[in-house]
Amino acid sequence: MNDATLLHRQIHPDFVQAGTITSQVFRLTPKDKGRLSVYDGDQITADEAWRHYTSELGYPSCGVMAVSVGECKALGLSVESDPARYPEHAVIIFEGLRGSALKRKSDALTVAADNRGWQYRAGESVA
Amino acid sequence: MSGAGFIQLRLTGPRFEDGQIPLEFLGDLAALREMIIDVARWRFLQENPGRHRVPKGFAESVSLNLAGVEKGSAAPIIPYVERAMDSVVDAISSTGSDEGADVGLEPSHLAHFSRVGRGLKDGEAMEFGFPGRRPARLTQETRHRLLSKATANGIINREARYDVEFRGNQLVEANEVSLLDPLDVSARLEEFKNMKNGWFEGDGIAPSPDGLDWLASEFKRQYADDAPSPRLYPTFEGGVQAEWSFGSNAIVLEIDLSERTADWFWFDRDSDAEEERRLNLDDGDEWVWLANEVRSKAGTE
Repeated sequence: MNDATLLHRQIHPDFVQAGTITSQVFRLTPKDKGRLSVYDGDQITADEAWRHYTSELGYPSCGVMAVSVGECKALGLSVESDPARYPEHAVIIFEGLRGSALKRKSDALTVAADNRGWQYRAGESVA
Repeated sequence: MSGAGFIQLRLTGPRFEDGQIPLEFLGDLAALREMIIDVARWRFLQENPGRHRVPKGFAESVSLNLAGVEKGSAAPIIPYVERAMDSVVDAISSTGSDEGADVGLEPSHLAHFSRVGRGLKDGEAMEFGFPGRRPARLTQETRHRLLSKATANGIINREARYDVEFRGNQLVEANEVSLLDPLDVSARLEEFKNMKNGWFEGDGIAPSPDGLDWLASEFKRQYADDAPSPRLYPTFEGGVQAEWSFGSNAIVLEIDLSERTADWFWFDRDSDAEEERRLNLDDGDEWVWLANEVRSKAGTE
């Protein structure tokens, strides 16, 4: 991975309204333990990541958005490869962040992803 | 103009010779009401350009029956409803006499005809009229002409909710047609009722239906109708998160449906400015505060 590497994040269907995603897309849940799962865009394309997530893992997703490693680092967030789950698995690390600081980082990543646009949308081709 | 008079509704054809209206046509009447409300809403917004939404409870305040607009309907809304009824009748009349006529309604209104008159068979008609006016006859042929106008103008868009059937590019049928504001709060919260526990990667609590009903009711009752509507999303903990974004101003409101509280977080994306506050959503003053703050951040106060 390098700063230009895209990190693909799956979008739950309920996390989109009127074409806009929620900042919860890049928010931790308790089981994340401070490490947000993404797909390493150097190893897998967005549509392949979607197929893996929905078919292999069996989770719902309406598409894929992405942030870059550089964008994470600019926010003070480190990124690591974590192939123990599956080879393309990576994590954005939010260690030590809580409350408003955590929400701001999540929002900043969401804005970056939204500005980049959909990398893959289920049922559509993305130009 | 009908005034506050009667709508005459008559079904013609061998099936209806005893003068009764079969129960199966009750759905058509419900669809007719929806269409009239849609058109009335459209007219209201056209004639009130400073408004972005109709008054709260607009649809619920309209009560129609076969005798016309009931006295219980909200007085300021009646003129829009009556003109909506005129428009619908005129659309049917003009299309019946001239296939190419401009019917004066938006394609999205015409899409309601997928339900109104759906039960009509060949040789049957629904007649709509007012005293002193020649009735408009809705037949299957007229209905299909009206629907084809809806299709020709491309009624389908991402923000509309349709369950439609096409043959080629011709809109043939719709099981449910309901065009809503894409940020309609009640409709959005209703969607969350389909969620089940484990909705997010095997975890995640589904919002409770009772909690969603409460929130929908409170939004309708307490949130100022001229304040910007939020985007709404479920939370992992079984709550609802409302979000607004106006340039660098970001607002996140995490709503706890069981406690009836909300955590307000506003921040400026371009500076360190931020504010956090716990709101008691059982307190009407908090809703006033909320709308004022949202308007302020939107620059519309």
